[in-house]
Amino acid sequence: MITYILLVSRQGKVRLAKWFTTMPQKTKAKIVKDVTQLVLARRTRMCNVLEYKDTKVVYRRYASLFFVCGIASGDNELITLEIIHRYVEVLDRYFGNVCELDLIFNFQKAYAILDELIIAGELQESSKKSVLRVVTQADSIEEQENSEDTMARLGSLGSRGP
Amino acid sequence: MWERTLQDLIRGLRANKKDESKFIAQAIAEIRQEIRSKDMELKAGAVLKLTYLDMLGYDMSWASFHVVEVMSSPRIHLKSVGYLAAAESFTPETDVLMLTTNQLKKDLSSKPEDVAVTLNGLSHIITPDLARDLAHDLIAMLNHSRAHIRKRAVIAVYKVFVKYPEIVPYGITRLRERLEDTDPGVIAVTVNVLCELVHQNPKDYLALAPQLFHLMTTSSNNWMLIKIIKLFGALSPYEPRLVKKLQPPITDLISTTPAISLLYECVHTCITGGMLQGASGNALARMCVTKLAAFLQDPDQNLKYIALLAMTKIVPSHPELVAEYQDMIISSVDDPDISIRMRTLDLLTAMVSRTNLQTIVQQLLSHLVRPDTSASGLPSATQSLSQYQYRTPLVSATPKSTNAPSQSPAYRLTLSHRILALGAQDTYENVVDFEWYLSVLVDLAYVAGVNVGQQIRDQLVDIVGRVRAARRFAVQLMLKVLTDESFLANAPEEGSCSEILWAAAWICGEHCGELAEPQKLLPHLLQPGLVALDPEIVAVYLQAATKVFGYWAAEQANTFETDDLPKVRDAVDVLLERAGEFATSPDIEVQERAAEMVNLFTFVRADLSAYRPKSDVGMDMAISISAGFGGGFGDTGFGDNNSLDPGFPKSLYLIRPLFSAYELNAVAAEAQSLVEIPEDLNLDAWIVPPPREFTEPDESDDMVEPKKKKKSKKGKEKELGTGKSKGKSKSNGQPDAGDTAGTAAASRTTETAEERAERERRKAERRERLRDDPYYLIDDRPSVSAISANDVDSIPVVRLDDLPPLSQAENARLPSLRNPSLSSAPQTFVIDKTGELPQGSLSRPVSRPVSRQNNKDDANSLRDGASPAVAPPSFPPYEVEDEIARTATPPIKVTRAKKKGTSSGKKKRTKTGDTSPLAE
Repeated sequence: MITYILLVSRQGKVRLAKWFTTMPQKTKAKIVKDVTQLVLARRTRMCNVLEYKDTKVVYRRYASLFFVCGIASGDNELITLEIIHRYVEVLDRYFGNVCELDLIFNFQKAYAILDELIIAGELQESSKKSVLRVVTQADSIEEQENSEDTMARLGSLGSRGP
Repeated sequence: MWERTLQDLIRGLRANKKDESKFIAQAIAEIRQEIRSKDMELKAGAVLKLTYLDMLGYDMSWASFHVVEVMSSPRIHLKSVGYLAAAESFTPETDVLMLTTNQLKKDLSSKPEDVAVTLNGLSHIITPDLARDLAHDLIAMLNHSRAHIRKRAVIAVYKVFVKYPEIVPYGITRLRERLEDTDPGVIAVTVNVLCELVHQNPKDYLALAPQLFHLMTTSSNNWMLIKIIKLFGALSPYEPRLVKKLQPPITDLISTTPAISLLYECVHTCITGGMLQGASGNALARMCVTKLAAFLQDPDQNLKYIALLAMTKIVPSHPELVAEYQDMIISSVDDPDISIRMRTLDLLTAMVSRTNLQTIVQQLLSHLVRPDTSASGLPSATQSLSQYQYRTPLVSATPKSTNAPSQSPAYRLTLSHRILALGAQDTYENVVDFEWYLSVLVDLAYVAGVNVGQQIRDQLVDIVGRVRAARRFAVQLMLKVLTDESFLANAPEEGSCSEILWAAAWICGEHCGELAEPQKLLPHLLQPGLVALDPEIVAVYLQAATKVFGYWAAEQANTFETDDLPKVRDAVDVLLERAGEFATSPDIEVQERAAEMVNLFTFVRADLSAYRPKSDVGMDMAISISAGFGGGFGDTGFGDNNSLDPGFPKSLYLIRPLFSAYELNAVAAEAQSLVEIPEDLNLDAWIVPPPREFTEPDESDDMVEPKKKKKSKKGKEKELGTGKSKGKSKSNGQPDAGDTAGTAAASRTTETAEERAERERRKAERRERLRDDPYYLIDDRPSVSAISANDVDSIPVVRLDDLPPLSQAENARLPSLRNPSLSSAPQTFVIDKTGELPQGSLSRPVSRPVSRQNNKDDANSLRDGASPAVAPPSFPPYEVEDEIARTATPPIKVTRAKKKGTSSGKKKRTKTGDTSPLAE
């Protein structure tokens, strides 16, 4: 199973961090720091697998972002790369030519999409289509709620008004 | 209305890169205000901002109650913010989790969207308590009408199983039903989950095999197939019939699938699931290895990586298949990618054999050669390897850039350890040519540049002990090392591997019989530059010098002519002068050995100067002794045996028997445990009583007496156990200032007022000392200062005092000792793998002729892992019987060394006495 997914910029800034096991903030910070350092030191044309303590780190770079996955040593490295790729594909479809800034400003969306793909470190849906369907559905519900909300606010303002 | 949104926060963070902490402190202060708001929208916004900051590493545990508030919002998009925050920030210790049970139950029976969000969040925050309370709701949800809820429920149930295993028997059947779900997504998730669960108790899941097999042969979903195959890999070791059943479909998949990840999983599972046994298994194995070899050549580095990984796993069962690709694998060590290098190292370690060890080690060694530093290290390294072709092309092939993997100390250390491990595997099983391997060890010391000197030293000493045929070459090689100034010059540097000098000195000293002119080694062994070395090494140097002289002197005695006298005398003078310099070393071990040396050689010099050809030797001896040591020899056995005139100064034979009585061999791992503990040795007794005794301020006499008694017993224990004798002071009539225990014990029945005052005073002194001394070595302290002035003299006196006459038979044995027969250039190396065991636990002290071949009972000689504190060759000669004094300097290391060989060591001492030719 996947223990964490990190999105790290080329400058070493964390853009997204999802942890599938609970651990103290300190341990998380240590892992983020170490793994970021390891991954950033890699060159192109090197393999996408690293060893960190007794786990494996599978990463892939897309434009300026590194997608980093921590997996157990018995897991399949190649399929982890596929999962990363699938996530990127869905992000790309959702945001339309996704870039780093999209993820920075819509981090809760990035989380929501990830949640549709992976729950508790397990791939729950491999189909891009159905992931996108669920996410856009959630968006429309939110919009609907928001508009209701705005109407209600306006209404209450109007009623309270002089 | 105009609070900062998440977007504003992020923009602000980007705008305030220089003063981030201040900006964040301000933002958190705002959030603290907003989060208390009654407006749920605002509260949720604050929680979302906090979640963002949490992701960046800032604490949000203080807000957990507010997170629960947001989770309870009826609006789905706010609720999902709450669940996101909970999933990110809650830990099992978060106390508000207890409050969420009812909220979660409510959400689980709400609208499908709510249920989906809840299941997502719940699978992250679930605790054993929550798992217990919600288990039945969640299991019921496995039959939800909507597929995407069922899918999430499967994962939530998996988390419940993990946190609350008691529910597994109840829930597993319901989970199993999901394997026949109408929705392929649900089936895939169920397989995923089972794949994780199976590792806990594989046997419980064997019943699933038919269903899974059906899925495997019908499905085309590669994501799921990978998991199914992984699942079978876990099951097959528990059901042998599965292997047979699985082989055909897996073979089929391997040969047909275009998906490399699936192919890799198949190969991997075949290996780890033990599917490669038998005739059909061998065919499958060949197929797997062929596929992996294709990966190795693939330009995709990932495939190379996994190929190496999988090959490492297949090597133990099918080494011959992997060996076909040896060259390809070895070349992977040169890969610039550290991940691939490490995998290759693993694989090489796994596939090493008698035939390929040499190639592999040379290749690894070439990586360690630094292009920049090669000027100093390489020439001698290549020299010692001259008969083997050094792979210069590979040296130049090492990456040039400074941050290349081969330059990083961690990698160099790993590489050096690997080389050492490869050679030492199964007690040098794969080493065909030990001369080559010894050269490798020396080369490694030259080029490693990391701290592996100790391992190199241990292996050198170990090999010399175990492989007799390699000794001559080892001595030659070590001679080169000893005479090479570069180790000495680099000694203070990190990673200089100067510990190899320890081995060099020890080996040259112990086996100096291999040298044509051992005396030429003496200046090297006692050069003043040694002070740069670790004191531990210097101590071995001194010991080696004594041994070399002993051997050479005995050899001189064999062919003694009066003309030789000046030569020997000069050598002794030089030795004395050099050793005297070390006698003031701040290190106690060096100091003691140097002092011992000085005294030994003072004696030898006195004997030499008193030697007159063809005169009465016995007289001379007496004179020399009284001149050197101020009496104490009057009643020894020397006068009785002076009818024998050997025609050379007898002191030439003084030193060698001290070292040559026992050959130092590897000791079997269990030897120590087979040594019986002597009856009078109580290992449970305190050597030094615990400090509590001394800190009690008011002791009544009644209390004191038993304690004193106990202590005196301990004092005796120490004498017995460590050979450190208090009896010394008694027998020599020296003031027993430090022997408080003994005094107290003797006078405990009639303790007068003065004695008591005296005792109190000493106790106070002890307490004083105790403060600075972490080891509580209290008893001996005063004796150090009191006796140190005298102790050097006492060593030889006591030593000789105890020597029984040498028998004729032993005398006849001496020539064979001097000329150890050596076959020239042996081609076969016999490794003494087991090491020696004590013959019984007690050796018979008398009647056995002591020869260099007879060493079965030598338990404290050489050990496998060579702990540096133990310096085996040095002690036997100085060990005396318990009641006889030796130096009172408390050398902690010495004590430990003696403990090791307690029982047999004691017996040996008497024997060592038997063999001394001086006593005739």
